[in-house]
Amino acid sequence: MNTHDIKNKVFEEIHAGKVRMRPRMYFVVRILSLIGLALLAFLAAVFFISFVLFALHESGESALLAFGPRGLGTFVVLFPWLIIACVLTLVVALEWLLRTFRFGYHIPILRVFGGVVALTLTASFLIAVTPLHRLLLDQADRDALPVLGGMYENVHASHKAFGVFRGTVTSLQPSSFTISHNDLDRDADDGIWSVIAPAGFDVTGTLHAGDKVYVAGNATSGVIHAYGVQKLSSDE
Amino acid sequence: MPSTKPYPEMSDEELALLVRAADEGAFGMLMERYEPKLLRYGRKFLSDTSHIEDIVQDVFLRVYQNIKSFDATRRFSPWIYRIAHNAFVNALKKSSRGAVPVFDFDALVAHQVYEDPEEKEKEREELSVLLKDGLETLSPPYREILILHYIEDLSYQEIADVLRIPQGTVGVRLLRARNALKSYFAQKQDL
Repeated sequence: MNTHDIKNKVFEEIHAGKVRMRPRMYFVVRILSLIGLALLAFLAAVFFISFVLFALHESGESALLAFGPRGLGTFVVLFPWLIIACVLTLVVALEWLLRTFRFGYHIPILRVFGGVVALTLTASFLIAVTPLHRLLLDQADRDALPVLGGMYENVHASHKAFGVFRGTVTSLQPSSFTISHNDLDRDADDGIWSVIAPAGFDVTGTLHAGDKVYVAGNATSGVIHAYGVQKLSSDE
Repeated sequence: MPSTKPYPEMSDEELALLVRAADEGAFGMLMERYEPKLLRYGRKFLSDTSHIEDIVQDVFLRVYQNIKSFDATRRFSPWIYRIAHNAFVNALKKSSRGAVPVFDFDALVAHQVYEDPEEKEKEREELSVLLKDGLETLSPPYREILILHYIEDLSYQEIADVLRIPQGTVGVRLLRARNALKSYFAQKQDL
């Protein structure tokens, strides 16, 4: 095949109508779709990360980090890894989408990835301090949140099996105290427990009746031998 | 306003603009200009060149199909080489002889590069024999970058646009490709 062969064959295909010039609108729609997908991936990643931040705070599980190696171990077990895996998938998809644009592929992959992660985390922290997740959680508790309802209800799921409890202090003794929990939802974490405080924990100096606390320990017959107690702020 | 210049005097970008307005003569001129270049690029890059004409024909059909996505404020050659690169990489994937890495580790981090035209000329002279006989011994990514830079005469910026990698990666990959080529010939001479 020589130059004229290729050229003639190309023209033959065009004249036969086998190949048509795509209209400019096709490319505009394609670019807009890519931008829309990138935006959607970014917003979804921000939503899920901010939910994780909200859930750790709301469930009190962030308190486990202050309970030493055992608390850290329980924190790792209870951490919502599945959501983090979804977020990572979204970030990789976002990175791939950005690399279809000129500004995206001109920057080294790790720098784009770092930028995407930093931007996602910043936006997530900002969203986490808004009342968005609190409102969605209230809706989920009233069974008025479709699709994401189950995810939100898990925020208050009982973790008794992992030895973590949440409740309001009802009475105090020098080395122990009693907590009760009733969040008025359908979760199975309601009840009253006696808590034997960890050695060296100043119960009466630290806690007062009505305080909300997060307790980690081994529970047997309604008594928790705590290895960590964290007072939660009043808004929790 | 339509250009009054004859086709051979027009730049690629001017011709591309006319093709967008369905000017067949302009498209024919572009094909005449790029066919030898794309055939050379494909013959050097691909291990199996038996269908090279068919692939180049397909490249021109894609050019026609997508010409309205060409940004006339940019150069035409990186745009058409990008289409050809995709077609050749697909051909390599289909043939069992050309493994193309899925992930580009060189594009992970930033590399500092400086493109020196004088240095390029010096290197081109040094590498002329090696490029003629040693290209086939290199892996496709190294082979391709040497072809684009020393044979097709594309700048770092243009190669970055063709391969969709950072300019720094172009520099570091060229350096590695040159070293691989030189080391192959050094080993060959030692034997």
